[in-house]
Amino acid sequence: MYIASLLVFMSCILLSLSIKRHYVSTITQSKKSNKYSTMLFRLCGFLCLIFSFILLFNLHGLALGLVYLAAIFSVASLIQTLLLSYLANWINKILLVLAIIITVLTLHKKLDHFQTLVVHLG
Amino acid sequence: MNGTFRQSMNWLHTWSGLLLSSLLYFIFITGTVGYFDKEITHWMQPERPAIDKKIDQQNILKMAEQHLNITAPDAQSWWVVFPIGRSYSAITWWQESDEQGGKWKSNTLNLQTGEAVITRETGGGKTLYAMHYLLHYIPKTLGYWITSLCAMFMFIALITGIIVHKKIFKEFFTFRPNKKQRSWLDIHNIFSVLPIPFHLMITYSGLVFLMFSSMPGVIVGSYGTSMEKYSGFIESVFQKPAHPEHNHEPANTLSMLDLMPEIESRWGKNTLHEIGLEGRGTAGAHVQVKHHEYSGISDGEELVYHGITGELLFDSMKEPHPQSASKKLYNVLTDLHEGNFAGIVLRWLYFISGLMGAGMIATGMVLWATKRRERSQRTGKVSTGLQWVEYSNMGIIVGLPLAIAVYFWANRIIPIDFANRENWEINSLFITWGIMLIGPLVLAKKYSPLSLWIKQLVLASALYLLLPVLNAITSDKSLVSALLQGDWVMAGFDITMILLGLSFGYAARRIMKKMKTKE
Repeated sequence: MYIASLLVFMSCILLSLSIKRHYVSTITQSKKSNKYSTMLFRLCGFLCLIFSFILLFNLHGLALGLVYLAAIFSVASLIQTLLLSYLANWINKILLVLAIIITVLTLHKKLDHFQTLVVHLG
Repeated sequence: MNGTFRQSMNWLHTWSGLLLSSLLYFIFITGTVGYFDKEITHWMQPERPAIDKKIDQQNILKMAEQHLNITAPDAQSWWVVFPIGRSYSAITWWQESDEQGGKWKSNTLNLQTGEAVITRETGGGKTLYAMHYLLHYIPKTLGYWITSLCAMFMFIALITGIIVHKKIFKEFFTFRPNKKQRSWLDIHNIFSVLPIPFHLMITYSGLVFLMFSSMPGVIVGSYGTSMEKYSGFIESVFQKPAHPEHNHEPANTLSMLDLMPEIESRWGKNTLHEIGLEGRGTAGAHVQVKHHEYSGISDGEELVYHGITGELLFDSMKEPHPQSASKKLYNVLTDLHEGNFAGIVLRWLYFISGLMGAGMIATGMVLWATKRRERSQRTGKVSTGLQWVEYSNMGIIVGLPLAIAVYFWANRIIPIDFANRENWEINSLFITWGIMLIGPLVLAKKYSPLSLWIKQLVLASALYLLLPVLNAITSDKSLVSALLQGDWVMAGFDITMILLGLSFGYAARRIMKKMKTKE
């Protein structure tokens, strides 16, 4: 659930960066976005959204999973909008921290599964 | 309405949104608050015992049946609601016999003593929640019609809003603060576009929910006008699970406790939401049991047993009702609207989305006035009508939350033995809202609009911030003691009130700053 929520938030950040106005205000080094970075952010954003849906679908089923996805996306996009308006400089760092947290949590889950498997086999 | 298609849609968006905006705002706020109706009721009845979900359900049922035997020996049905999930107390319900009037009554049980707890008379969260589709002080049917009409206007405003929003994707995450009208439009778009699935779902399902009242012609056309035929329609749409035929012959019925081992062997221990014995003392008696967990977004498993033989008559998981596609769609939409399936996280997400809906309506109202104010400043003429709208916006947008705070205050201030105290709680809400609506108009000559906004916001902030203090003075469940006892419902309510108070205070501070910059 946590991983899915964080993935939705990450997808909001990535999708917002695929919009020229936000890309320019966030990635301060560049004055304009290029076509490839836009495509890349959009692709990654949608991939995160798809992954989060798969996780939510596994946890809650189709109907409740969709409800969760829509609800988390609404709130995550509101937070992202406020970040873009007031703390645009933080977004790069937040994105990095999110990526680390999601990786750690995923590995932790995998490790749990692995340990369960070892116990089961033992 | 002329010009291009988009201009026409813009006109329709403005007026369909604006005409019933105050009612829509009321519906959204009360409906949103309603997502926590049980928690609010728990706070509004501090006499209820602390939440204890560890007690075995067999013991609770034993206590409840003993209590019902003494309190309602002649009742035609008994129900017991267990403290599980969002039910925070063990509650017994019973329906008096037809000779006694057939009324439904209830008691909250103290699980330490097995006796009924005497709780104060209150509207609780249920009344607040019911106001979003019944309104208040008017007949039920009229309430349904008005809320249906509001939902229809809202739905038109949403669809036309999507059409007129030219840069819906380009401006998806965009809010440009301190840009006057531009900022208002941005925030209106944020509150509208980001939770658009919620807005569309809640409005459309609201319309579907009330369709039997708002479109009675379809039913009358097929079933006729008599009450008997209307009941036939209701029975065919809302099929009840299989149960014995109505039979009023006297017979010895089972105790619900007798069935507990069988139920627990199916579902496990402490998994029941409620159990009820219908048709007590008759040959048509049956026991209905509901599981506390929801199945996706739909109701959880349900069992029906014969009230005399104990034979299983119905299991909703094994033999669900045959349903038409339209009935399934109706169920999905109404389930989504009510959100009964939502756990604590999803409930908060529903709540935030609801607040965003209220925010969308409020910003729409302010935006309309701001546009006209800027236009009139250019011409140098400010119409009285515009001033009236600006002042009433104040009373509606801040006045309603403030009035709800007064409703909570009234719950603690009105003496417990006061006649009709439940009604007076609600009266205090509407009296306050009325004062907040008229107040700005009366004080308009003395104070500037901004200072009137500040006054209402500061008052709302103070009322919300002091609610936990009032709670601590008037009950033995202060925020600290609730936290120590692990009563997160009581504590959560107080913390939410503090956060609301701080939000209103912050808004007042921002306007004060703005005023100072202007000066």
